[in-house]
Amino acid sequence: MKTSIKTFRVILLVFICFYSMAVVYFAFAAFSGQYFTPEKLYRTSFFGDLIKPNFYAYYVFNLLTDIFLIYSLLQLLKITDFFKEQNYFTPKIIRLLKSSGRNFIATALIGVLGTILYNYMFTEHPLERMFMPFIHHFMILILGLGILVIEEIQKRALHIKSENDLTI
Amino acid sequence: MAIIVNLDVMLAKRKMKSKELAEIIGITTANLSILKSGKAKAIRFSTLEAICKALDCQPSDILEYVED
Repeated sequence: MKTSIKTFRVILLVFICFYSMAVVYFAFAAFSGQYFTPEKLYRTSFFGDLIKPNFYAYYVFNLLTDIFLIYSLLQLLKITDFFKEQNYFTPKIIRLLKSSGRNFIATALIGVLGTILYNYMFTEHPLERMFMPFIHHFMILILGLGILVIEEIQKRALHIKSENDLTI
Repeated sequence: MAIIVNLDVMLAKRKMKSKELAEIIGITTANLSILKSGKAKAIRFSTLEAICKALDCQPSDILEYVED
């Protein structure tokens, strides 16, 4: 296996581990009541002036984003398993790329909704604060679309490979 | 497919086994089997030349066009 693929695999694995730990920690902090915004930043929102429902509404969006992101990263990790076995063009890789790309897009879209919800509920200047997270989600969207483009290229490559394999 | 491979007919005419032909032309028996069964998508000129030489025949004896 090439060094670049090995490095990608290691970094991805480390990132998934840290990210999963962060998600678990955040869940623990949220459900034990440690993670609340100061009341001065709190404003009336979808659930009136109830802090907990507002926070948990945001938390659900955040958790969904995390689940989709971790799932899509795990799929990318699974793809590298095929590279280990020298299988570069298989229908399974195409399916994984398609699923991973769609999950990245879902991560970006849910992330945008979560950002709007969070900033609307818990920040003083929502529009200013939303700018950077939007760029972050936009990059994830581009990543997802890029993976879908690679999936199309893989489809074509698989077709050429099967033609090549069946040329006697 | 519109192109029919009549390799087995030629092999029978020349009383030659697939394994023998595969050895002469230098391809694996698995690949020869793909060619015989019509699963092959293309054939190299070099392979066709070797088959024609080994079976002493013309390409038209091996490949035939049939309208669908």
